[in-house]
Amino acid sequence: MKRLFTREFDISGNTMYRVVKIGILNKFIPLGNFKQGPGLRPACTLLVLHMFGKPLFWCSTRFRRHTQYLRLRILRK
Amino acid sequence: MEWQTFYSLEKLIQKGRERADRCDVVSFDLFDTLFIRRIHDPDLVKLPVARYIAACATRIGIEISWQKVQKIRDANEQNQRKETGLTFEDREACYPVFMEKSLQQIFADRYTDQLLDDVTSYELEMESSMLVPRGALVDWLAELHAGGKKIYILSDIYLPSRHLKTLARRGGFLHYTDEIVSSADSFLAKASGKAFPLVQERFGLDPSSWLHIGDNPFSDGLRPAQFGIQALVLNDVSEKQRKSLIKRYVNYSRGNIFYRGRALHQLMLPHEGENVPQPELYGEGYNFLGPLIGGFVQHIAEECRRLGITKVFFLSREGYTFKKVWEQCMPLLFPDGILPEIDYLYVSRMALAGAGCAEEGLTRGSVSIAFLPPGNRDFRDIARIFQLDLESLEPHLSRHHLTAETCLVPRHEGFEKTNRLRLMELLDDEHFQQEIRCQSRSKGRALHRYLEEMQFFDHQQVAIVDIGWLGTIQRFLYTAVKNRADCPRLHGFLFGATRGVKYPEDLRNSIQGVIYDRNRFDLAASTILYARDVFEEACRAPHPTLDGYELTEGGYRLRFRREDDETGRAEKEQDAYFHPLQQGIVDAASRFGAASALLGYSLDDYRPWFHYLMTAKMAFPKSSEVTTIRHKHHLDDFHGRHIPQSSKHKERKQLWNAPVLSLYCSPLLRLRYFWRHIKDVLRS
Repeated sequence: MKRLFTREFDISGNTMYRVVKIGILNKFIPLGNFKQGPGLRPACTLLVLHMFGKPLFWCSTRFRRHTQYLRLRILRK
Repeated sequence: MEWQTFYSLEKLIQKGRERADRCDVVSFDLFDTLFIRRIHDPDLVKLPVARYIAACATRIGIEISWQKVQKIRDANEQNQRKETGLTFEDREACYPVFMEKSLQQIFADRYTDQLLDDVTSYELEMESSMLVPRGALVDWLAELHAGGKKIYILSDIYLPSRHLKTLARRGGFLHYTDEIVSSADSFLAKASGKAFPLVQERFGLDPSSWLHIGDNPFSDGLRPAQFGIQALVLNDVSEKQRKSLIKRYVNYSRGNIFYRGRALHQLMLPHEGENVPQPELYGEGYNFLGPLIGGFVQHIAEECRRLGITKVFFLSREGYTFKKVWEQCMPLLFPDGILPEIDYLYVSRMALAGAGCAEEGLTRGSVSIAFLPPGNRDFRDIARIFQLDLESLEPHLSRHHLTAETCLVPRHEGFEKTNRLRLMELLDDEHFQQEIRCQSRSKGRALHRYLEEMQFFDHQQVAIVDIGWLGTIQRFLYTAVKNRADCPRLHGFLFGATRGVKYPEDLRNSIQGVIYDRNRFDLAASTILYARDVFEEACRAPHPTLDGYELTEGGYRLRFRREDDETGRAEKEQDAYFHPLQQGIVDAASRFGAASALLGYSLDDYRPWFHYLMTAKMAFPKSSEVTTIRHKHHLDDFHGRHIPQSSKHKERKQLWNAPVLSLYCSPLLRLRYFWRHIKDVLRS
C-alpha cells in the first residue's frame, strides 16, 4: 500500500529523480523521442523544489516579516 | 485586536479549537482555506470555459476564437469592476452579470438564457474538478457544527452565493454551514472590511464571540481584527511548495513540450482525503496506464470530430476499459457534446474468424494469420480457429493428399514444402470453399443480425477501437460485412499496432496505431512490445471471451466461453489480481479529463512524456514494478498446443519474464535487453 502523491508532491513511482536519471541516460543511449527532454535548468529547479522545497519554503515563509499585502499598504501610504 | 498567523494546518486547528470554545460564531474563508486548488492560478479555469463558448458559437455558425472569447469576458469583468468601484469601496464583479453581457456580445440575437445556464454549469463543473476540500478543516467544521456553533463561509469572489453553495455541496460540507456569503452578491468584500458588518447586521452576530479563519493576512487577518473579530490566518508552507511546483510544471510546459504531459500528470494527482494509501497495482493503473489510455481515447474523440465519425464501437474485451475511460473523460473534455455515440461490441478473433468465412470462404490471408502463433501446426488448428467441421472437410483434404494432422508449418517436425503447396491448392478449390461457406453461413447470418441490432449499419462512418495488435478482429469483421451495400466505412484505432501481417486497407477500411504503430518509427513507444500481455490483461473485461454467434429462430445468440474449466478459473484469478489496476485506470480517467480540458493539450503534446513513461516502466522498470505488474495468467484460444522444434523456433527471453533474482542482481540486464530491442526495431 502506498500513496499516489508523495510527501514531496511528486508522482509515486515516477519521481523527478527518475525522470532526470532517464533523461541523462537518453544523452548516451537513444531511448526514444522525448523532444527537448527534461532540460538541465527546469530539471534542477524541480529536483530542488521537490527534494528541498519544504525547508526552503519554511524559511522563506517564516522569516518574511511582512506579507506582500502589508508591504503594498505601506507603499500606498 | 491582533490576528495570529499559523504555518501549519494542525497548529491552526489546535488553536482554533481553544478559541472556538469561547465563541458562538465561526466563519471561514472558502478558497485556499476550506478548499485547496489543484492549480496554482484560478484564472486558468476560465480557459476551458472560453473554449467551450467558442465551440458553442462555431456550432451555430459564429466564427470566433477562444482567445477572443476570453478577451471579451475579461473586458466585461473589468468594466463591471470599474463600475462597482464608483459606488463601493471594493471593485467586485458578479459572474452572472458579466457572463450574460459577454454571451450577448458574442451570440447577439441568438443568445438564450439556456446558454448562460450551460456555460455556468460547465464553469462550476470545471471549478469543482479543480477544488479539493481540506480534510482536516472539514472534519473540524463538522465538529463545530455538532457543537452547536453558527458557521458562515465568507468569500471575496465573482461567483454569487448560490454558485458557492453548489461547490460546497460537491465538496461535502454545505450541510455544516449556516450560510455562505459572497462579495459578488453585495459588492461588500472582506478586502475593505465591509463584509463583516454586513454579515453581523444580517445575522445579528456579536463580534466579540466571533472567530474568523482564512488564508489572506489582509482580508482574513487585519480586516476582521479591526472589526473586533478574533482572526486566525493560515500561511501553509506545504501548500506554497505544492503550488510553486505546479506553477513551474505548467509554465515549463509552455516552452518545453516534454513537460506538457508532466503538468497533466501533476494536475491529475489526488490531494488531501483523495490521497489515501492504495495497493501498488492501483498506483500503476492510476499513474502509468491511466494517462496513456486517457490520451488514447482523447485522440479517438478528436479524430471522430474531425472525420465526422458518428459511432464508436469498443471491441470486447479490452474495449470495456476504454469505454469506461471515455465515459469518465468526455463530459469535461468536450462539453459541447459533439461526440459520436458509443457502444460495446461483443467480438473475438475466434468468433469472427468463423463468421467471416461465410462470405469469402477460407482465404490465404486468414490461414497465414492462423499459423502465426507457434503452437498452431495443422489443419486441425485451422478447423478449431475457424470453427469448421473436420469430418465433412475430410474428403476435400484427401482429394489434395492432406489429412487433419499433416504438418503445414515449417517450425514443426514433419513439415514438407509440398504439403504447403497442397494447402494452397486446397484453398483454390471451389468445392472446398463452397463447403466452408456452407458451414459458416449460419454464423455469418447470426453476426449480421447482432450487428443490425447494434445499429452497426445505420452509420456511414464508424470507429472500431481495440487494444491491438495485428487488427485481426477488424480484418475478420470487415470481411464479414464488406459485401453489404450499407457497410459503413471502418476507421480502426488500435492502442498499439504491431502489424505482423500486412493489413488489407482500402477506402472503406483503415487502421492506425495510436500510442504505437509499427509503420511509424518510434523507439520509445515500441517498448510496449516488452509486455503486450500486461496491457491486454490490464484492460480486459471481467467476462469470458466470446466463442461464437449462433443463429436462433428469432434472431441470434452470443455463445461465451465456459468459465468452469482450468483456463476459465485462471482467467478469473487474473481478473481478481488486476482488479485494483483497472480501478486505478478508471479513477484516473475523470481527473485526466479535467486536467486535459484545463491545459487544452492533445495527445501529440503529451507524447514525449508518454514516451518517457513507457521507456521508464517497460524498458527500465524497477524490479518491484516487474514483479507487481506482470500478469499471472494469459489466455489465448487462438494459440494451439503443439510444441515447435527447438532448432527452428527459439522462445526469446524477455525482461518481463526474467527471474526475480536476475531482475535484482544481474548487472546491466535492462541495458542488454534494450540494446537487443533497438536492433529488433531497426530490423523490422
